[in-house]
Amino acid sequence: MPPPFLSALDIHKAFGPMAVLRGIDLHVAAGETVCLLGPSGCGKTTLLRIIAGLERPDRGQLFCAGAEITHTPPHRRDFGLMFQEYVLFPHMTVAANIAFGLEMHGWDAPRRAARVRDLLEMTDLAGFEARRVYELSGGQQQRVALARSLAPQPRLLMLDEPLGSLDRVLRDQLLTDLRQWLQHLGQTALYVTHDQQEAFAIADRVALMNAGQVEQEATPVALYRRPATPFAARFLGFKNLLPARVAAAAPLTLHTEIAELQPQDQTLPRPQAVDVMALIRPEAARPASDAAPATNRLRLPVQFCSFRGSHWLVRLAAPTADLAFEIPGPLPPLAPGDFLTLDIDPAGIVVL
Amino acid sequence: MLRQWPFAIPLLFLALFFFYPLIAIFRLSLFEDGRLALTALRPLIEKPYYVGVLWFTTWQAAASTAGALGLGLPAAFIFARFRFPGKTLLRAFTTLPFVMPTVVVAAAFSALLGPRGLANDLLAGVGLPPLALQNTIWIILIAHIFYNTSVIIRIVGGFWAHLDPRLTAAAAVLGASPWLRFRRITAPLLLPAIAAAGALVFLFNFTSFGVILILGGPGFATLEVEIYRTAVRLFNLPVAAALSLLQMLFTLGLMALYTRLQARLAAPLEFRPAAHTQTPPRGLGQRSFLFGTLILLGLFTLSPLLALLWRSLSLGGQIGVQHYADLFVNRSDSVFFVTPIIAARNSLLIALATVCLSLIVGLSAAYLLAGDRKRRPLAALLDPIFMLPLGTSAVTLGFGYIIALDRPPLNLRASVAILPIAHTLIAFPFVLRAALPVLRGLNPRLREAAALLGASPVRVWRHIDLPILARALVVGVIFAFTISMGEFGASLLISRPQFPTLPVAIYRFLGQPGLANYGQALALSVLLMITTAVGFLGIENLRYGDIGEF
Repeated sequence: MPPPFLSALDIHKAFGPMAVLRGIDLHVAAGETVCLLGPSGCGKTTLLRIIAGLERPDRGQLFCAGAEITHTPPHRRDFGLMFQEYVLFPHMTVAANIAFGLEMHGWDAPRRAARVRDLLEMTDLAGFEARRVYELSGGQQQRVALARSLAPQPRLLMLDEPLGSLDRVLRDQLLTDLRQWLQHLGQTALYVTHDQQEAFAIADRVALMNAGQVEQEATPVALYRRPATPFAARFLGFKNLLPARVAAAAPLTLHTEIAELQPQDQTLPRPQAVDVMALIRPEAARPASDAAPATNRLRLPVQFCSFRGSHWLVRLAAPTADLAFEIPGPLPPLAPGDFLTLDIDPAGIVVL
Repeated sequence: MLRQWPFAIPLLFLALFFFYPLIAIFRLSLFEDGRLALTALRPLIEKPYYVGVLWFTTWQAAASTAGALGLGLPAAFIFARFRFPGKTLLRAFTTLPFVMPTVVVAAAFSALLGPRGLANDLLAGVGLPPLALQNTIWIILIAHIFYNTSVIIRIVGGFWAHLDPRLTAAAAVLGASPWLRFRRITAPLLLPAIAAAGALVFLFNFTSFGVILILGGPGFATLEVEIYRTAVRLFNLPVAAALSLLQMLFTLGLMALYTRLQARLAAPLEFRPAAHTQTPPRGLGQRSFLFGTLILLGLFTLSPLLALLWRSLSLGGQIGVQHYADLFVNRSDSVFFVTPIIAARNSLLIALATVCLSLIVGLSAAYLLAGDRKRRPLAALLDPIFMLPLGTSAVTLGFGYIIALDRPPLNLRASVAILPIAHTLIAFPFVLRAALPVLRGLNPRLREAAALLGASPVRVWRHIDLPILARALVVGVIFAFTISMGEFGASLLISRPQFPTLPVAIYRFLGQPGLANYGQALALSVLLMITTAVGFLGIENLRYGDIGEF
């Protein structure tokens, strides 16, 4: 692995009695897009502000390109930050907003004009130079904000929920554009969001944050395939989580309240763990055939069953938690209270 | 149409008691024997004396405004950006000077810096020569700065507190140093607020009357003072009318400038709740700046008022309430025919009448402006007209009353009613401004719902409008009350000698020789100061939101 371009080591930060960051380690390689994903209040924006230099960490160090920058003021870090809600300068035109950082970095007027023109071109804003920023729509403001933070060619571009205040359609469009621009420019970027779809679409690597700590760090695919903790599983939208006890080590067998489970992936979250959690993916269940073995089979009463086009959504009542499965038909007609027997694909069982 | 008749009240009131007197001034200054003649205006241009008055009025206003900005801007910064214990209280204290009646300010500065002032007592105590500030430009400038610093703090600080701090953070990340952030982001964004506050303070200083008259003495005259002297002392009504005309032109111009600048404050900036923008002071630099500014500000705002209180108790050697007791004695050598405390009773009665009148006029005006969509263009036209009395100088108004309301069809010169009417003209815009945002925010569906549940229009008003308006109305009532209690300029011209108000009585006592008169002036000033302070603190507690309309 190449030495990371940016490293945050053991970052702590408290606001009064409230600890917001509790020992964060984060590394970003040159040219990589890392996404900080987490629920609101998990400290991701604070971490971003610390990396930008807008907040001081209580403890910990920041390194960039081999040099320590923990105490460097923000205007000497040569980073870019795109704020949530954009924070465009209301007293300047679109062009002046974009040119501001160039001016601060000592670019002369002709070079500034050329750079502004290029960026307006790239963000599809040609012709908007002289507009006042508050005359623009939300999507246009978002692109001006992006152009402004990209203009001085920052060593690191940080984006704080940049699509947060846009509607769904506009979001999808801008997300695709953004990914293309970042890849095209080879821009190192740190992207903050609470939306896992957004994180998966934009990131090379995702750092999932919870209560001031990094819960799991992985590529989007690995994170989705193998969430490491119950929090990670729940945050990614998985609902079928069951308390389980390790009954046998080889092959790994889990005892749960509804079935004996034998997952394909035999690794345990901790060596010699006994009490674990079992995650059953919603798409991993099929109606049982008689020939199937006794493990990975469950039989539960149906709560409801509804047709969703590509699949049936079936909710089953288990003693402590309800389980939901997406089953691509055909299914026998089911009424609430009927018992349904399902076989679980071992590949769809994850031990947490 | 029948139900619209209450809307005639504010219009009729303005027509009779504002425009009619002003037109009388126009006629007196511009017409002679029914024909347009500019003879009354000629001395203003020809006599260097009047040019001098205008020049003095302007430069002292500019100097006072610069001083108020010098002290007010750092204070605005600390109130806008820092969170510290006791801040709300401190902010209220810094506004005290602004709400103090002009005679109280004059008496307070005389008690602090005058020949018999506290400062000179202290200097004599350590063997230093006394200050001779009374009747100099310095005491005028200091009093003006004392008066207006809070206007700067309120307007600029209020705006600054809601300015998104992420704007400067964005500039920092883009490479701007702290100085460049201030010069390129904060300063340009604040400029409309600074200009609006500056214009308003300039207007206040330009029309300053009591401070100049009492502290400046005979050697200084602003336009406002000159109108009073020309009309009352020299009884040269045509020249006084011409001066009033000039004064009106200037105040209207400044008022228009202020309104335009204020409209720019509403430019599409995204405001942030102040709680998001403030931090506790960090580091030695920020802390010492904060405490230094606060101490200077506290010293400046509180020392004159405390000196006034102290001198009212200590004047004459021993500490006691002698001067207060004297207020109840009808001395034969008194300037009045009555015991001085009668002035307090008069002021109280006039203030109560003003409150009632202001509620009637102010509320009907508020309903007129807040009315349904069809009346929008009318409201846009009427709103600034209702605010005109605030921008008109009190002395001009009083002078207009003298020349217009002293003969049929409206002969009110001898009537007691003339004072509450004049005070209402200045006070009702405050009731209007307090009630209007509430009325505009009132969801009309609430009234419809109440009506559908069976409430008559009167009961709808009683059960829907009134409870929602209550707070705003209390604020309006206190405003009207304290304004009436402290009004000086107009009262001095139109009050009758045997029916003095508190400020007029204080002015007369200050102008008399002798320790006893001076002591009584201080005692009456303290009464007025306390009344005003209590009223103001009430307003501060009841008013909601801190981006208020001024």
